[in-house]
Amino acid sequence: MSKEELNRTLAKLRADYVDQLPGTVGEMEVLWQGVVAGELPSSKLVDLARMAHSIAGSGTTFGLPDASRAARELETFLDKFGESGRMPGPAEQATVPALFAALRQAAARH
Amino acid sequence: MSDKHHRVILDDDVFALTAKGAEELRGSATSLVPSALEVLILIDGKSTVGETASRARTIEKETVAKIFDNLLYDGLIDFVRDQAGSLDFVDFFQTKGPVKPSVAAMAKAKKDTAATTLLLQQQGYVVRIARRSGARKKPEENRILSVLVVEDDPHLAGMLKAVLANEGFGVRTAKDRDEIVAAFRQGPRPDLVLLDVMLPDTDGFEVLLKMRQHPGLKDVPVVMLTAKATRDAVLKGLASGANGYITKPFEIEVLVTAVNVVLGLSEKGHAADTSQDPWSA
Repeated sequence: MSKEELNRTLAKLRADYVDQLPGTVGEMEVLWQGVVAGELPSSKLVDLARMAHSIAGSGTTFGLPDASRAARELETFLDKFGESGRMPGPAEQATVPALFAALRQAAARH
Repeated sequence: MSDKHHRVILDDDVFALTAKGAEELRGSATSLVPSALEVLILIDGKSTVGETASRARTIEKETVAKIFDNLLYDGLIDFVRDQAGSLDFVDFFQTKGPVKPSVAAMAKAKKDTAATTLLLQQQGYVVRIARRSGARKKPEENRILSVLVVEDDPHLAGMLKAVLANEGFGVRTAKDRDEIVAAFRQGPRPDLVLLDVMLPDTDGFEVLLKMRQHPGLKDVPVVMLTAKATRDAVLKGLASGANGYITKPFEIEVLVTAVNVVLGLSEKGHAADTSQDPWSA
């Protein structure tokens, strides 16, 4: 593989990543809303934390450092509940929209 | 890089004659050089490289692995898969064993990170550790080394595959338990595993511990590549037998350097100067 071919491959992977990220964030928000509404079990917070973890680890590598940072904050928040199985209280839940908003903006910025 | 698909051949790798190899032996004429023919005869159905080398009369031991490599490339021999006690992966995740590193291993990892030349760089979420694996032999020139990338994010897996392939490695990927076992079963044994921690149905620490308990995989170098960046996670990885630990997000150059250091190669594919710590700059 030549340097040009590698660069093309990496550019396509980055474009694919950037394209799918807003949709992934949307799925995460739906998941969160389902848990808060009691339609989904609190164990889904573990899945949500995993999704945030994935973005935290990959965003910067694909040129989206703000997405990594925002996802890391969300992951840190969710980890407190995924491990204990406890549902966030109302005050804690109130902090989540801002976390999602930051992540959504970072994902849509490119 | 040679067009030939070379691999690292280890002393305990087991090979058997293929139908083509058996036919070559039975035929009245052969195009093989005498040393290759002698190795085919010595394999005698199935043999390890080490056993064959010990029985070879006219061939230097160092040459035997190269001959195995050429015979493999020519389709005259093939790896023997799923040998009991050696390459049996049926129960890879079911086998009982420690689920976490021992207290002694954790203590050693802490000591290593604190008191040796191994440098722990922690800048926020950035940790880069790579130490040369002592278990591996220096690969011969022109061999393509294989890397198994265990990563469940398809974009990252694709990127790692492209980058490492561009560096001359043969790359396979796996995203969960089934694919990990399949990759190990498929063979040949990878020369290095890049291992994510958070996976859908297992975690990298478990995979690492299972590998270190497995007779066919215990010496395979492992670089953890993960967004788990806590000190405890790093120490757990090192205590479990990881040769490197890189936290996500990572830079491509860092990853490539770590792979080369752990394999005992420099960034340009030559033997590394182990007196220098690659992360000390």
